[in-house]
Amino acid sequence: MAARLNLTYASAVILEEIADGCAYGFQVIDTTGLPSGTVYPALRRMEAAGLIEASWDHIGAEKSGGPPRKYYSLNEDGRKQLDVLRGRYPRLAQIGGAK
Amino acid sequence: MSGTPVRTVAPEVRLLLAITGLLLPRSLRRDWMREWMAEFLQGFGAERKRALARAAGAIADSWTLLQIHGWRQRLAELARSRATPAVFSALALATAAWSTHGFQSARSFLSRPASDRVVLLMQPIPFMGKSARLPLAQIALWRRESSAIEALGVWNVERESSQGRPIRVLKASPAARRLLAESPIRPQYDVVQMEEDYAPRFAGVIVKLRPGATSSQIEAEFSATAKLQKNWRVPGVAPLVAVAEAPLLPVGIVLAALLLATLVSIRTASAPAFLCAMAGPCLCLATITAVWLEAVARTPVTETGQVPLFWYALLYFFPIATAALAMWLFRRSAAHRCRTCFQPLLSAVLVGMEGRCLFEPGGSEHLCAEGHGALVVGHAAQNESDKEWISWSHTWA
Repeated sequence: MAARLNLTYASAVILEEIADGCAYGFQVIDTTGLPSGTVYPALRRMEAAGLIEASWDHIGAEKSGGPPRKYYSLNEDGRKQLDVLRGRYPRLAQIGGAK
Repeated sequence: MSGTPVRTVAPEVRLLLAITGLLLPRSLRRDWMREWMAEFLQGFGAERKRALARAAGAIADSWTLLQIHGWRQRLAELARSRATPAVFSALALATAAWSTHGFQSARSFLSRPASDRVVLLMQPIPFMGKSARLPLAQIALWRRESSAIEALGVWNVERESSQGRPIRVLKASPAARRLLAESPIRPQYDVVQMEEDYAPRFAGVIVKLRPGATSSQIEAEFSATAKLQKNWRVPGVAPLVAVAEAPLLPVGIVLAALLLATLVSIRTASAPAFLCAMAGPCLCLATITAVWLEAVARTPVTETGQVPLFWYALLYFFPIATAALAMWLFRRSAAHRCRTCFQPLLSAVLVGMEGRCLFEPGGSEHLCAEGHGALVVGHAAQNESDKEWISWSHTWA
């Protein structure tokens, strides 16, 4: 499924961003500097391709007293794909290292 | 309940998200909206421009979701929605109003401007070489003796010579130019024709009546003063508004009858269903009528007081054909909707036994998804009377 997805550099940056753990949409936007019109469509495509998984953070919502956020995390296929992307885009590692 | 205070979401952001969310099918919309609202409510800055710029990404987001999760499903949903016909008709009406500056021509036409006192003296078309134009002297006499004419202009063919060759020039008097400018007639004056070119030798008289004068009054005055030669036809007097107004009554009656027949044929059992059923046909017919009135107001009239053939089709055939088709579609759609909620009925379910007439007669039932009732259709259903709507009690709903 992942092979059918054309992963651009922006998608690779987003994958790298959520590689270390869970991240929500606005967090990815703030840290990568990519516009929301790029980040969300990329997240939807990667979720549909089975590279990432989404879950609602009910615990965090209870603590903050607001509605639950949707968090995205990498699954096994996503990690494999990220390794491939790191080979294709060597600078990705620097983004990962800078965090 | 502690920690970061929950912020509010700016109304323009809410509106953008709500409108964008309409693209998505219901099954996706709820979660999609929850996700976006949570992001804004969980401590996004109060700067409205930044929030709006961030929310703009929702458009690309919903479009991507739509591509991934079935835009066909959403299109089908939209087509079946009870509000869709009314929304589309309202959009069409708004677009037509925008492109015609609020139906400016139709409004001017209906509010009767000064041009409704402009009449055209229709000239007989020359036949077999006979020059059947009115002598200018007779027109001048008529002008002098008439009490009904406020202004009169003529345009005429004059014979001239250019580089030794005879030519004809269609010329209009300054008064004619002024009156023609406020009328729908656009005769081709100041046009040079070679003498050997065949062209109808039209000449015309355009008259503006005094307030209160009628076209029959000037017709009578003209007959009294003009001395026409043998075999000449008396020129007819055509009030320009009357020429343009001709389709209003017959077409208006047909459109009203079509709307009435549609509204009477649609059966509903609740106020919301009634509103949904009526809104679509009424708005659709309002759109067709407004566009047609705009066309009526812009109808060109020829020098001989006629409407060009193409415009006849546009003014008579187009509104009736379009309205008849639209009303038929509305009636057809309404027949297969629940009479309580006006949602489309589910696919037919076969009931009874084929061939039986008394007990368990064969047929099909179209059920309402909400359980309001069923449309029972016999196997031999030929018309609407063979379809019966059965309402179920609230306990089934």
